[in-house]
Amino acid sequence: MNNAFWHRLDRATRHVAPFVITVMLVVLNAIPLPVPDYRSIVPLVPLMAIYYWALYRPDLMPIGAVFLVGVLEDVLTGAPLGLNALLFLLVHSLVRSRRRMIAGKGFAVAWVVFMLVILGAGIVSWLVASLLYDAPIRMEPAVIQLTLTLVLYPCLAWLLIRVQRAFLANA
Amino acid sequence: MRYRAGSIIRFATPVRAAAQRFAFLALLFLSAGMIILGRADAQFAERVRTTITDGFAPVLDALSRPAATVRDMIDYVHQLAALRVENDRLREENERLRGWQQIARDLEAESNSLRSMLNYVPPSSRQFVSARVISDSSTAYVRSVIVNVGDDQGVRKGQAAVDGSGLAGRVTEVGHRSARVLLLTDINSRIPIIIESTRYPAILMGDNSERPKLRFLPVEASPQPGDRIVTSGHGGIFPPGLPVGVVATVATGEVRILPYVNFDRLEYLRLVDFGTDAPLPSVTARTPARP
Repeated sequence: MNNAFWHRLDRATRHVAPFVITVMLVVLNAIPLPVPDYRSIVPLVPLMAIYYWALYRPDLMPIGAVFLVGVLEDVLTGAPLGLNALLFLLVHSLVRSRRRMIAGKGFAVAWVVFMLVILGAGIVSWLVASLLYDAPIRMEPAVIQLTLTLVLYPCLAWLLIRVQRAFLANA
Repeated sequence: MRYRAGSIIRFATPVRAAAQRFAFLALLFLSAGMIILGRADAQFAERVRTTITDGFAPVLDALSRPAATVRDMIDYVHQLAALRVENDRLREENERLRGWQQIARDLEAESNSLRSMLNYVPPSSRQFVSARVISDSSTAYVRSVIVNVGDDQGVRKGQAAVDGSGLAGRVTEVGHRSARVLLLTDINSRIPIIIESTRYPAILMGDNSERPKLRFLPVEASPQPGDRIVTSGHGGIFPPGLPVGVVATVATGEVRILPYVNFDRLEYLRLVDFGTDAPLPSVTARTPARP
């Protein structure tokens, strides 16, 4: 009985790991860093995490969690409330429904698809932000941001693979 | 047994899929609704934001300290290297400033004597709340920071945020122990200013670039690069005379400002309580007594 309780607790902890890690990434992403003009080009780390989990462990990242992560990202970054929540939901469901076509094909394919995904996400968020502010917003920072996000994706994926192997190998 | 489990799964899978689909659509509409509601009813979005930000403020506060420490250490090494040059520069600057100090004293005396002739009512005293920047929460679309003080410390919406060099922005959202400062480079930022030397008024409009532009500047103003820009105090939110920046470029129909504040290195901000709730000076006190 006691044993079973610990076993269940262990399983539960492992199952929320992707969500907790993603929330941690959102918070860490909002910390001020002493890099010139860092603010406008800070890579979209949360989006990388959403993509990663949707691709490899969608069972551990329910859409409710995706939504919460998006709202938190909106609040901490000061983006229009709901914008990132909407984006993350779209990315999550899109990747999830096509994951059989991507997941088994090796990392290069996953990376290329990630490029398409953030391109789409970038266009949608730029359009929504421009509509909300009634003015076309400068594109350069967004372009740099997306490029940086794309380049840094393998680093985060590497990190998340470690996490997945360490905690979730048999979860 | 086996058969039963299989039938349950066969039955459960479509139900689960349908529930998933429904949840997805519901959340999708909820997000879209939040965007629209946030636009229509700013107060709602603000309440949600400040509540969540308040909750995360201690975490951000704790996490931003190591980042600040690393930055300080890097600065320290840089400073050691540049100590001699810096020293010479400062000595020179000191000489120059001593001259200015003399001028300032003369002007202060002159200004005091002129004021005493005019029965001038001095502006109400300002109070500062010092705050640490705990989140550099800007994206490609928004320029703002979160600071670690809120209405518990007397922070109010609309207060000006300054650092040592000049105006950084204005408080737009206030929680109990956190507040958001909209930087003057943000696309939503509008600040009434004047050109210091010529006293022409204009509105400083952010556009998410490093150099916000001037709008509604009178045509005859003809600003020159290097002209100082200060807050005008119009609208009564900001105290007049806060340094904002200098004119950087003057192109046809577009004047851009280089702010004094270095937005890449915001660490501490002072939120200025201009005492707008202080009683306005009465009219009789202003009118000089007739002989």
